[in-house]
Amino acid sequence: MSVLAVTITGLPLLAGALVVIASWHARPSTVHRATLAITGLTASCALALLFHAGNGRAVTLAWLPGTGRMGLATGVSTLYVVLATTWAAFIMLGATSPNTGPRPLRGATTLLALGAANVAFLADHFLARYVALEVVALCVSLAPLAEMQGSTATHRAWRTYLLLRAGDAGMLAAVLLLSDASGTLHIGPALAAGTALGGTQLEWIAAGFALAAWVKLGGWPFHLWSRAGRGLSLASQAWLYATLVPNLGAYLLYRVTPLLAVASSLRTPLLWLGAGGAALAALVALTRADPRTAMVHVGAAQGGLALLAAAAGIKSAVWLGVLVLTPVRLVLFLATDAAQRAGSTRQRGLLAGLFGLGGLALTGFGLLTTWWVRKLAPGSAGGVGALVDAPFVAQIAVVLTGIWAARAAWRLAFAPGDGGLESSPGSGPSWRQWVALGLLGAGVLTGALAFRPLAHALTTSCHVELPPLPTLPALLQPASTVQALLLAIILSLTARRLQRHVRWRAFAAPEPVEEPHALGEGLGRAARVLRAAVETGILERMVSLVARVVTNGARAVWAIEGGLERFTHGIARTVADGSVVTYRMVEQQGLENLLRGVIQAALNLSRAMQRWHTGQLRRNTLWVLVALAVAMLALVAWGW
Amino acid sequence: MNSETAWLVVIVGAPLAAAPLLLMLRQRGTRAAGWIAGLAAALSLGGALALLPALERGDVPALRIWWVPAANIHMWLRLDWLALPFLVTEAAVTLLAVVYAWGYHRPDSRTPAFYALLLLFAVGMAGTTLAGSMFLFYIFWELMLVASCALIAIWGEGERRGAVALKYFIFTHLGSLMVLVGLLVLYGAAGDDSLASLQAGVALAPGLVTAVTALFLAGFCVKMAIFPLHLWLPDAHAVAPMPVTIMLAAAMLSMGTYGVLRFPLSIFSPAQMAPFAVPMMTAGVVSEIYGALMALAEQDVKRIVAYSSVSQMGYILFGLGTLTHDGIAGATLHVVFHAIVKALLFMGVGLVMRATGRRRIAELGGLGSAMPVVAVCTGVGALAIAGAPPFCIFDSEWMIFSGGFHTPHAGLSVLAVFGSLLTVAYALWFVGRIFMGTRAEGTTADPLPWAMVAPTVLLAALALVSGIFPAPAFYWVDQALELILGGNW
Repeated sequence: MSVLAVTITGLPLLAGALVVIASWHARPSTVHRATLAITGLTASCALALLFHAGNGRAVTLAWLPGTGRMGLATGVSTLYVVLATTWAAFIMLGATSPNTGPRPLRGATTLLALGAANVAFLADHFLARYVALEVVALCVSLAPLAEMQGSTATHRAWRTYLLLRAGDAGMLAAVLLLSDASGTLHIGPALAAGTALGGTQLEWIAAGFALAAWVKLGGWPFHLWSRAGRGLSLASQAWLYATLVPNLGAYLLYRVTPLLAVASSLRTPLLWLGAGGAALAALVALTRADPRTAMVHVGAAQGGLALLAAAAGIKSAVWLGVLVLTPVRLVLFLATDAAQRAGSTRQRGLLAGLFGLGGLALTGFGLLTTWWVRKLAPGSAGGVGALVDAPFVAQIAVVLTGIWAARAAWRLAFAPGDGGLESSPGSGPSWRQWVALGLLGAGVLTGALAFRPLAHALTTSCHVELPPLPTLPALLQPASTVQALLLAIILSLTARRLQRHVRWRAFAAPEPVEEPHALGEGLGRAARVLRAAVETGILERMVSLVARVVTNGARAVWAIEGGLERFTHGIARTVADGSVVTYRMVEQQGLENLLRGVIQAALNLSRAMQRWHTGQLRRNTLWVLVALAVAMLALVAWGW
Repeated sequence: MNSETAWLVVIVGAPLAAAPLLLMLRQRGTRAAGWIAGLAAALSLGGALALLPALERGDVPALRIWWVPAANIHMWLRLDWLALPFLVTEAAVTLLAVVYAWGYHRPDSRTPAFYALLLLFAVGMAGTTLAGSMFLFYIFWELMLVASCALIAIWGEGERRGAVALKYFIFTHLGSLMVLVGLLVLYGAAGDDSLASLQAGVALAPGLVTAVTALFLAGFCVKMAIFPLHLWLPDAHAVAPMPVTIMLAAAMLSMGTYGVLRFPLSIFSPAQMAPFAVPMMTAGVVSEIYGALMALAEQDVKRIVAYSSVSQMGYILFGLGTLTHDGIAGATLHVVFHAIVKALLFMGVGLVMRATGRRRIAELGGLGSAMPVVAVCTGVGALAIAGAPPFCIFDSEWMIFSGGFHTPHAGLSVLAVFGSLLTVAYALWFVGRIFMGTRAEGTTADPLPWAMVAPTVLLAALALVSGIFPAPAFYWVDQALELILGGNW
């Protein structure tokens, strides 16, 4: 077991370091093959390790004196997350052609990130996990530098690292507070002791962990780091940015869920942050034409749902989320990329189908998560029976995600050149992409069809409690409520208005021309006229008003999105300008002038004194006499 | 005189003897001056390391000579665990700075004098750490100032070097005077100038304890360049020749920390120091944030690194102010690791300045492809100063922050943790701006002498290795903590 555990952590790290050294001379295709082979070996070892799971600590070592021995724990639930992440890396690299594969340094960042991530997953000690997360953050930030040129790459790397460090700062504060309270840095005992804490201390700790997870999940507005992956290769964006870091965030969330659940005063804000963040991100995704940009926001929406589940205390939902969403994300990314290369309508249709399958899985799991939250944490952030509560807002996010997936699938099939989708039809997707998509698609389909037995088997093997699973009608029941129906109408109209304004043709399926040749047809037309008169005339006017508000809101959110970027620039500029002003005021004018003034005053006084008593015998004598008199007076006063 | 005493004499005596030798050689020694200085610095470092086994055995190597018997004043050199990390750091930095100077300093008729003053500067620092009596401590303390001030005044860059040297002298001398008053009060109370008797306990009225502690803290904070007493630092660091800057930033600043550890924290009890905890932590956080902001505002590459010293000294003061085992151990470690990283960063900056002839960051860019080794080394330095693991400063920062969270002032600790993001911001911006992006117009990169590159590479490796294997440094510091705050942790 120790050998396997060391292999899945040490092998990628060692290989990554070797690739860095060899990168000056090695050919990209050689590096790609080596990276693929090492990743495959790591993934296989992770699979083999599953058979030895739970056999205590695999490896221990002491690093910083006084912090205790650090080890790798091979719990089953952790190993499933490792498997999902590692195999995702292997599949994404496998789907990439060696000739268009990674530049040498790109391979190094992938391997180093993989090794560090496995350490982060398996570590049973907060210090080891923190260090591993920092190394991952560094590798993710270096990816733009490895793949791009110019100052844009530097800016992206800087922004990514800074934002990820902001999350890690939250984690560091939480870890040190928890360690102070529990007396240990070992994750299990520390978290167990943490749940027994109360008051402000617990809330600070929970807030720190929540910040760390929220940043890694790419939650709004921290998704800006995730956007830096947009210009990178598919493998880098889909795995490093959209799978690895969010999985690390979700796993962290999974581990600290018991803490979040008992931090009572933090629970409601976190529920709303999760639900609101998800809805906002899903809404913004709808306004994006480029699927790879939109997927950043969809990822943020999934992060919001994970936080919602964690705040509601549903640990298994967060864990299952990692396993379900990892292949789904890959399907979405790969299908989009392949559709751009597709040479025929048939190929595009097939890829759109796969994309739609992924979108369906995404929506289905989102509905399940919100169902669980409503079922297991009734009255979450809104009170039982409230018109709008956090799960309801989360359901909006799920529906919006579904709409986005449907629209994007339609566009992949019928309008590949529309909007921001960069179509480059040629020889079609490579056989590697077809194989990867086939495997992933089959996996997603199997998972969707056999979700119930699979979920039971997984949770049983991990000793994780599986919440009750709804029947399909029960899952869809929220969609039959008045609120949900109203919401569906508003969203449809919103989408139509968006389509008109942004020139999206996603929903613009032309109406079939109908010839009224029968009574039935005539009645049908009459009914449509009546509907047009009543519903479109009265109801739709009312609803369209709401829709306009939502549409404008979406646009405003996007404006905020753009503004946020400018805002961060503005903050940076303000900080820099403020620093410059402070620098001038304090360094160059204030204190320095004060000092200069004091010295000048001292010099003037000295010169005056010097003029007064130098070279003139009578004045000097007088000076001495006065000085003596003062001294005498002082002595007399002291003695008296 | 046994071997331990002999090595003790070598630590101070080798550079002290080499300095007049160099001055006497004058122009005849121009070519050999660097080698003589290097040999003296190496002997000094070797002496410090040679005494390590003695400390391990529990001995305290010492040399005591009566100076003014009537006043109980001695010339007393002694090495204990508290002095060791500072002494080794100072000696190693001196050796590396001298080697760097071989490539940096263009030989001329004044070269022997330059190396002689560098050695006197080193003697000042070594003597300060080895002094076992208060008056000897102060003499070496002032020698450090005089030698460095002369180096800035004579070999400084630019027209303002005289004014900068004067400013540096006035500021640090004011700090020294505060320290002197504190020393005199302690001497008056103890009736003896030995540090050992002070550590055994000195009876002072509570008001006087407060006054003396305040004097020591203010005086040593001037040397540490804590905001707002830091004004001498950016100018002095920017104007001084690079080897002197390296010694100032990497070694001399740590003397302030040593002073705080040796005097208030070693002499007074935790209860007596407790009222100063929050002011020290607050001043530390303010300095940490302010220094980082100033580094972001600066355009001159040397001054950016100089302001980062203000920020880093803030971390140290914060750690000391926690009055906890972890905090003080972290602060002491930070001195050692900061020395490695700061010397590395200044060496990197010096190489960039030497290769391009430019020092404004706006005029630099895209140098990574032209100077890959320097880029990697400076990148390591930037990541290290940003506290990224597995580089060394991460270890000490972890301890400092951990110490902060062991106090009741969690808010200050959270502020310190999040304030470190500014360090990340300026460090990465600085490296990215110089080495990444497009090459600035008209920039050429001249070949660099090996004597400048070799110590830079060595320090970059050391920043990584000492981060991965911190146990020896931790062990030294842990031993030193038995001498702090009564050793009851």
